[in-house]
Amino acid sequence: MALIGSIVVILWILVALFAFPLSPHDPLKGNLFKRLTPPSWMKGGDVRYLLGTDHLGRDILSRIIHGSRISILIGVTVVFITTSIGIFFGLVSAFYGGKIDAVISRVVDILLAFPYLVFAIGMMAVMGPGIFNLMLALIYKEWVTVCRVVRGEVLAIKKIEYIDAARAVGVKNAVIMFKEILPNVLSPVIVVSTLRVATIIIMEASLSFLGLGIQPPTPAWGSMVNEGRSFIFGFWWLSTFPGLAILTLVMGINLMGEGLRDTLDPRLKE
Amino acid sequence: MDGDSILVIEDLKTYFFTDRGVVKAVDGLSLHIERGESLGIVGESGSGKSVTFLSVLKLIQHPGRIVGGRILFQGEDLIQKSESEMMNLRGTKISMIFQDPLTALNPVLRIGDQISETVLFHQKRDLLKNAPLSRRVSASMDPLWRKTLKKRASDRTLEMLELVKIPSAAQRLHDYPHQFSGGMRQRVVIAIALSCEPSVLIADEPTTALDVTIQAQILELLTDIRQKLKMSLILITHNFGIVKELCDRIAVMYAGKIVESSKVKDLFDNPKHPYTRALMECIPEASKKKVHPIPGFVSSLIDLPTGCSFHPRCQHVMERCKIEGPSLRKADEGSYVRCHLFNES
Repeated sequence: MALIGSIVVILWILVALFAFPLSPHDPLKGNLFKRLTPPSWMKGGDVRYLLGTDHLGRDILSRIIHGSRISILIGVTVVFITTSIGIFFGLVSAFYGGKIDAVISRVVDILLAFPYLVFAIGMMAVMGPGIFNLMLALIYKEWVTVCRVVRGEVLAIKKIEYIDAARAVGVKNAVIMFKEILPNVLSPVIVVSTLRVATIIIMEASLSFLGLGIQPPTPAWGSMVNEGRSFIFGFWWLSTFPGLAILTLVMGINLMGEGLRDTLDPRLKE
Repeated sequence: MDGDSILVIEDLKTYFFTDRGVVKAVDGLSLHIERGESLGIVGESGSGKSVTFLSVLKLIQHPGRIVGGRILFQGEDLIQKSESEMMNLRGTKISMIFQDPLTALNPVLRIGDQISETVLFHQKRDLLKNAPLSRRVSASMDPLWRKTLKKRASDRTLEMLELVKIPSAAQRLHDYPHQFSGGMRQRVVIAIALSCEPSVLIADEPTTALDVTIQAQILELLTDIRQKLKMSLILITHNFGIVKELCDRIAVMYAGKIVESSKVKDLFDNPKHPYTRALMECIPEASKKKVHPIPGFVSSLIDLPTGCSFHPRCQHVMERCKIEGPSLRKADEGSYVRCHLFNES
C-alpha cells in the first residue's frame, strides 16, 4: 500500500513539475463555444477535451494539472516552514523546561483549542485572500503539531544518560540540542510532517472552496470544486474531477506516510 | 589534607526539593583527592555517591540544588564558577563516565563523530579563547582552518581509540554504537571522557553493567591509562573487590556523608566504622558459607534519624548515638571515622 501511495505522490509531483508541456490547453483561456463539454467518452464529448470543459469553456484536465502545482507548493512549503519552527520551539521548550516551557506550551494549547478551519477562515478574513496570506494563515497554527511531537520526544531523550555524558565532557547546550538530541527526534518528525502535508492540502482546498484562498482565474482544486458546485446537477464533471485529484493526492500522501511510519518509527504503530 | 590535593570537597550539601519534602542526598560531605591518586567511593544504592560527583561537575538538575559547602579544584571554588566556566572545565579538567555504556552513547551518531565532537569543541575554544569577535567569525568561515582542526580532531580520535585498545580502530570510527559490544562501548565512553586529557576522571560504576571477564579488562585498562596520563581517578562503586584491586584510598558513604575513609589496606585489615564492618560481612566470598546482610534499609533521606544516621541499623548503638551525630575524626594516620566509638580513643 505504501508503495502505491508513493507512486501516486511521485506521479503528482511529476505532473506539477511538467505542468506546461503536459497540459493540452491553456488553463486560463476558455472557448465559450465549447463551454460545458462533457468528458470525451460521453455523448457530445470532444477528444481534445479529455475531461470536458467548465462553464467558461476552459479545459478541466489542464486546470487540474496546473492546480496540482498550487496544492503541492502550498502543502510542501507550509509544512517545511512549520516543521522548522515546530522543531525549534519544541526543542527549546522541552530542553530548557521551566518558564520557557510553560510559555511555549500554553501558546500551543491556546492554538490547539481553535478548530483549524475556523482559525484559518478568521485569519483569511482579517488578512484578505491571496496565496501568500493563505500560507501565512496556515503557518500560524500548523507549527504546533510538530512542536508537540518534538517536545514529547525531547522530554524522553534528555533523560537518557548520553545527554548527561555529553554535558560531563563540556559540550555546549546548543550543540547538545541540535547535534545530540535533534537527530534522535527526526524520524517521528518526518512521519508527522508527511502526513501533515495531506492535511494542509485539504485545508488549502477548503479555503479555496470557500473563496478565501486562491482567487480566480488561477486554477486551484478547491476553487474548481466550488465553481462547479452551481452546475453539479447535469454537469457533474466540473466538480468531480478536481475532487478526485484532491482525493488521490491526499490518499497517496497518507499511505506513503503510514509506510514511512512503519519503517522509520515502529513505536508509533498501533 | 596536604597541599597536593587536586580536588577538595568541604561540607558539601546537595538537596533535592521534592513535593514530599527535602531529600538530603548529600549532607555535609568532606573529601579530598590527591594528584594522581585513585580513590574508591563505596556505599549502598542511594547513599549519595553519584549525586556528590554530579555536584562536583555542577550537573545537578532541577529539583536538586547545591545548598552549601565548597568544592575546591586546584584551589578554585567550583561553586562560584559560572556555567560557561564550568563548561570549559568539564572534559578538559574533570571528566565523568557513567554506569551504563548502552545508554551513554548517542545511538544515532557514529562513534568517531562522538569523540571528535568533544575534541573539536574544546580545541576551538582554546584557540579562540581571547580572540576578538571578528577573528572568531573569520575563523569559523575559513575552510582551511576548519579542515585543519577537523583533521587534528580525527587524528586525536584515532589515537584515543587506540589508547583504549579497540581493535582495528580506524575502521570502527564509522560504526554506530549498536555495532559494538558492551565492553567495547564502555571503551568508547572512556575514550570520549579522556579525549581532552582531564586531570580528574570520575568513573560512576563503570563496570556494573558488564560481565565479569569484561569488567576485569576495563578495570585493567583504567589503571593502565591512569598511570600513563598521570591523572586522578575517582571510582564510584558498591563492589569492595574492585576498590581493593584498583584504589589507593577508599571512602565509605552512608546517607550522604562519609563515614570512614582510609588507605585501602588499612580499611580491609582493620575496618573501624560499624557500617564498614557490616558492609564487609555482606560480601559473598567463595570460602564463606553465609553472608550477613545489614538489617533494615537505608534510612529515608527526607526524614533522617536523629543523631547518627546509621544508629537504627547499628549493632553497637549507644544512647548517645540517638541524640548527637558524630563528626569525622582522625582515628589513625590517614584514617578518618565518623563514629562515637572512636571519638575518645
